[in-house]
Amino acid sequence: MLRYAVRRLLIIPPQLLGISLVTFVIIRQVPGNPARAQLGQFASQDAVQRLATYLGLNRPLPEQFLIYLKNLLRGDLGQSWFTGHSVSSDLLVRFPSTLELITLGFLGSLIVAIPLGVLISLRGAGFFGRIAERFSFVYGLMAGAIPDFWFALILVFVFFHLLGVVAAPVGQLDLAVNPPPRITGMLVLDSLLTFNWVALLSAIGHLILPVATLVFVNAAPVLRMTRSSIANVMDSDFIRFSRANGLPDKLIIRYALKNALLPIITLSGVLYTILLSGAVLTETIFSWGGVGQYAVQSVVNADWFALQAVVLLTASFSLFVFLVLDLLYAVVDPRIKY
Amino acid sequence: MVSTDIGGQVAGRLTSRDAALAAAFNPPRGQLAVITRYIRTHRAMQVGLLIVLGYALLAVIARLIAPYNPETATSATLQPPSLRHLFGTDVSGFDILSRVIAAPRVDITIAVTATLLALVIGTPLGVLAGFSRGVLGEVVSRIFDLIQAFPFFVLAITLLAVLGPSVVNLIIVVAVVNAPIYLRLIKSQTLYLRERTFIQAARVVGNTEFSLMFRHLFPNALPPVLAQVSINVAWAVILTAGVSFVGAGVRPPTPEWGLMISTGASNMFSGQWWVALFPGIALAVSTAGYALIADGLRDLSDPTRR
Repeated sequence: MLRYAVRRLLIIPPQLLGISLVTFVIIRQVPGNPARAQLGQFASQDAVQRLATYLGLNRPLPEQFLIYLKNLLRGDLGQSWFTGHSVSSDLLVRFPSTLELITLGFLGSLIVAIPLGVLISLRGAGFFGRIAERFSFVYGLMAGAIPDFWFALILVFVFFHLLGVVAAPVGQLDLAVNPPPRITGMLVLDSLLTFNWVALLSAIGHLILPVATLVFVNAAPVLRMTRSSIANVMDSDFIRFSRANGLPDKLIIRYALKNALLPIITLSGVLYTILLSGAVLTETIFSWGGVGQYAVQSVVNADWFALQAVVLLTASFSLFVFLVLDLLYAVVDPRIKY
Repeated sequence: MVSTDIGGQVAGRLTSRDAALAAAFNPPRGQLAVITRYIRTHRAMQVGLLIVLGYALLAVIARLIAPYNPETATSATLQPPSLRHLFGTDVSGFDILSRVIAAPRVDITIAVTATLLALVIGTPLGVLAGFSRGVLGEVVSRIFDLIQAFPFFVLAITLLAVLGPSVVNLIIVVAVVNAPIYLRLIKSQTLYLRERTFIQAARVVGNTEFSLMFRHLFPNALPPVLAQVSINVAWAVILTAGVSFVGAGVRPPTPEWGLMISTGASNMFSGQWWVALFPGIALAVSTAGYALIADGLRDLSDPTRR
């Protein structure tokens, strides 16, 4: 197990190198001169040239890439010419906000979908069972068909404009509320750690709608997977054997759930990584100010280093989640050995 | 799911799930009847087909029946729904109904073309990746792994920034993002099929590697993958609308659902619900149509669910 984990960890750097290279090449094709973008349209041609030389933009691409890698190894992700800060400090501010949003959305989806899926799978064939079946069909269809960004807007209209029960869906805190001191960068966690109840309430108020959006869209695939996975296991020989042996239903269900867990874990992991790259739209609507919005901004402004860093960060996150998944398999299912 | 009576009949004729699908997509004479009978008993699939065909019709005739020109603004700006403008108008005075029904020509065309393009790119490479045991297959697989490790949405808008926002480029980008799905599906099919006797037999009688891959194996690997196409079109519609929503896709005043929702986004905060509501509903109904068909195809391909 440990050897497997180490081997998997060792593959990650070359994978990241490949991703950096591809990103580097693609981003260099985005139209727009970064030196010009940084100096503004009124700067003289001469100044733009000087800055381009200073930034190393006139050197051949392979050389630029090597310089980029060398800086990367030192932990220097470069400078964002749109925000004027170093990219690493930009990300340090933004990544925790995004992580908080998607983690809550992710956990919310699991908490809604898995118990519901279990309940529906283990129901009797009666009236309640048919209703539950109908409900999960209609909900699954809607969640798959409705785009998250539109659903978010509907929530905003109903709960902010019509009912007025949530705070203005802009940003992560009310303007009048002092943010808690920065510990993790996640507002809910920081307010909890500093016992700042005002900030906590405000942060939760701002999280409700975006998290509800993520849960609505992402709980559906988990629900579907839970149901089909349980159905598969219930149909298997060992459950039939347990039945034949006259084991109590409760015990059989426990056996079944344990065995149904593996595909659900896989899907959940994939979902978590999809949430990170799909958070762009939700963040845009709620002006969240996280990594997703930063990514869009850097594409629009040809902000090379910022975009490169975002892609690298997201990809590393995905690779890390996949690694954890594979290790988790062995924990959940003792038959799997690495 | 819904169809219970057909199960026995179909199972009687077709023994394996591969055969059932092969029959569905490449029906020999006589088995077409099985398919039509299957559709006739599967209500979800009927509804899906109806929706998809309805939108296809709209894509053709929308401009003829639209009350206003979808790309010309009227002087009435941000009007709520009324008899003159059934779905209201947006902030620049565009008639929303006319734009909503004109959008399938853009959205559905992009989604369907992109999905087919992804299929055309992904499937031959998938066979190659699964069949060749050499360096070539490994290289193809690793390249596609790389594409999948990218955050797909950021990848899509970055590629669009490189290529420039246009319908053709949008098709290319949506196809590139989706191609790895097909590669994976067909690769796993290929890995399973390449050890089967009919491939060995074909090899023994002297077929070239190319002919083994594409004449003998490919047609057998394809059917389960085709079942994926319909749901993929739904994803492609949502992705197309999504990139247009952040301003990286088609340009205004092209009638496109994502763009229209984006126009109405700020109106949602101040209460003018109609600008974003109607394009969203139109989009959701169309994707639901493809999802329903996909449901039917999945039930058809899985004998235990029939």
